[in-house]
Amino acid sequence: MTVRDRLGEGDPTGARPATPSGPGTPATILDEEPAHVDALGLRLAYGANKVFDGLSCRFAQGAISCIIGASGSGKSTLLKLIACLIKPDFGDIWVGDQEITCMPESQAMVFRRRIGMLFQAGALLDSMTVFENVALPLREKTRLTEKEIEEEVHLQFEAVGLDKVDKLLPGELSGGMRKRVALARAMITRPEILLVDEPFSGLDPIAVRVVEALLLDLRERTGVTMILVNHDIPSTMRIADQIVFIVGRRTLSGSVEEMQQSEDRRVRAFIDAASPGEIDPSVWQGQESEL
Amino acid sequence: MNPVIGLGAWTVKVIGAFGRMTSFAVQTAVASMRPFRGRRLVEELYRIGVRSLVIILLSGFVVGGVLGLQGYTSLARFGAEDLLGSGVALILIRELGPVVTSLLVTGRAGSSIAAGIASMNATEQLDGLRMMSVNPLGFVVAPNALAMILAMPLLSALFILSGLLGGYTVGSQLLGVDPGRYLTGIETVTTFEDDVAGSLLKALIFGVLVALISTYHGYTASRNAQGVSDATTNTVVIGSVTTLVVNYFFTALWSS
Amino acid sequence: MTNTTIRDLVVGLFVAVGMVAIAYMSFSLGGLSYAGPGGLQIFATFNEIGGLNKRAPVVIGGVKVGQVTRIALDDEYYARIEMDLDARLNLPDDSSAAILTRGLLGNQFISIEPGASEDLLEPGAEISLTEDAVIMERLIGRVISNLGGDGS
Ligand SMILES: Nc1ncnc2c1ncn2[C@@H]1O[C@H](COP(=O)(O)OP(=O)(O)O)[C@@H](O)[C@H]1O
Ligand SMILES: [Mg+2]
Repeated sequence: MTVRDRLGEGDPTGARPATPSGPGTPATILDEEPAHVDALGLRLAYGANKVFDGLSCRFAQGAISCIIGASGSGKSTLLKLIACLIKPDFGDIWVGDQEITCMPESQAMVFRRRIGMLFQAGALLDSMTVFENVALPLREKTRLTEKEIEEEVHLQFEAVGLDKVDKLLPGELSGGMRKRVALARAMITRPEILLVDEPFSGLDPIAVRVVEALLLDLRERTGVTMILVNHDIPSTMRIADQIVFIVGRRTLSGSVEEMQQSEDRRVRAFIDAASPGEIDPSVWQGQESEL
Repeated sequence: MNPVIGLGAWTVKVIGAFGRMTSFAVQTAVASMRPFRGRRLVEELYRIGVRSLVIILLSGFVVGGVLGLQGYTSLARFGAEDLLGSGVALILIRELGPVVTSLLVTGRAGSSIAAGIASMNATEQLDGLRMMSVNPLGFVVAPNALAMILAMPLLSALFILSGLLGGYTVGSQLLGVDPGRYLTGIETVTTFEDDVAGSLLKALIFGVLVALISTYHGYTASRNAQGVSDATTNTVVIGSVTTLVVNYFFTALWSS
Repeated sequence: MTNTTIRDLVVGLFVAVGMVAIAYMSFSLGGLSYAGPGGLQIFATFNEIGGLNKRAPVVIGGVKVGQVTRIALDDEYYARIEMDLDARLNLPDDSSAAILTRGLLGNQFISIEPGASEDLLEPGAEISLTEDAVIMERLIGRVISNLGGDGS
């Protein structure tokens, strides 16, 4: 049974309005589901710029969750918080039964082995070949022999559909290939959570479908919990089990169906903007003061 | 603003920067040992040391040549051309060798370290390393810093020898100073304790300072193109001025 | 050979050449230890050594055979020089030492004139016959005052 099925059953009316969630009360159908990542009352400010002011959200175990929201609403920041790359000013983040916001860096280093991250531009090391890049996590954190590493790396390359790229430098790859290499690197340590930042930005429509298929296949094979930042509404509708919508400094979340049927005008505006036709930009004005 | 308040604010800022730099240096030193990354060190030695070699040798030769020319014209007036070797050697070993090498390496390699680390930060490569449980201080910063510290004395020594050769070429081959006397002049006047040790120590200190300045500015740059370019500029300006100021105090203390 | 091996080689070469440069500067130029045979310690005392430096060459007939290793004042305020000479030299004990200048204003050095005695200088012995450095300024001053004396 997939998460999508469960969501459908757990929502008898099918018309539950998605309301803005307050701190500690993520108003979502996923309340009953086991959450893999649970963020509570996050506050984070860069100087006067308050990025989050009491944001809460949960991400279900084994699901594909998509975070959507306007540019600069803090989607990448949320991923980095979950990866313990930055710390919130206030609030807790539970990953499984571990609270990560109070960890010292040495412990965070160990914690991050549970997490893979696919950065927006790939974050491949420019000075190393593609092979060296993907082999690096194994070289650093395992005692595998050179031969075992090579086998493992080629297995990952195969899984993401890459061939004969070992000796290339990241600068010599196309955008789609970079993403695949980065995906191979993120997955090679078999993490339990995969964080993906805008996997489809800068890709042509066919490459988008290819990467989508890769991610779905990956989830199928490994059962990894995926948290995606995804601007692309049609693509989100195709692959997401759960959508987390960042508006203002809060979140709205629910299944794809719930979001599609949502009457919240900001959600509507976002979804409508992805379809052909006129939109009314005024819905986005004043959202900060409203929340 | 009230100048007194301005001075106070400036002092607080400078002390804060020193504190952060010190803590950065300590963290990097710790990270450089656990584990020690010899392979990465070799890579950075290539980028920082080997790639600076040509500019160092060329500049050394030309600087030595100018010293030979100027020294000869001055000394010839008193019929003291034999002192040419001594003069060129003392100036090169005590001052110009370490100082000019440090200025050149700051421009050539220090800027490249700063820009490299800053752009790795901007393109999330450092975060990528953290996600692989690799400490960027150990993987990126420490090898860069160590390579700089190691390369500086080596490059400075090569600059000096190249300069002595330049002085020899101009003085002996072009202007006719006796080659043997040029060499004897060098040997007689230089001593290990007074000149060579100080010269090597100077180069080592410059290496440490430029390494710290360039890696710190790269690591703390803001994550955009402007940040990368600021890091580069700051490294070159602060690195060069630091070299000159520290050189003055070192010379003053060393000779007393 | 892969690129990596070549790069490793180049880096190794760079470090080696740099080390040689440092060693050359320290030992050969800086005289951290005298490059050449030594082992025969000889002393000489002068009234005046002029601008003689430590590490100034010691020559016999223009050929370098050692160097000055120490310059100090003795109890009676004479300049006492210690030299390190090639131990294979068999110098007669009536040899003499002079401080000479190369050219008019050149470097100063010690020249040893071997004597004719049957007995040899032992290590730690003292050359008793010495000739002081000529101080150019004093010489010129004396010439000028002599000329002045003639004129009056
Ligand atoms: N290191 C930082 N320093 C200052 N401000 C930052 C930093 N990182 C992010 N921000 C700010 O946080 C907000 C959210 O950024 P981000 O998470 O990248 O947005 P998104 O990924 O949704 O486009 C933006 O307003 C951005 O300016
Ligand atoms: Mg982003």
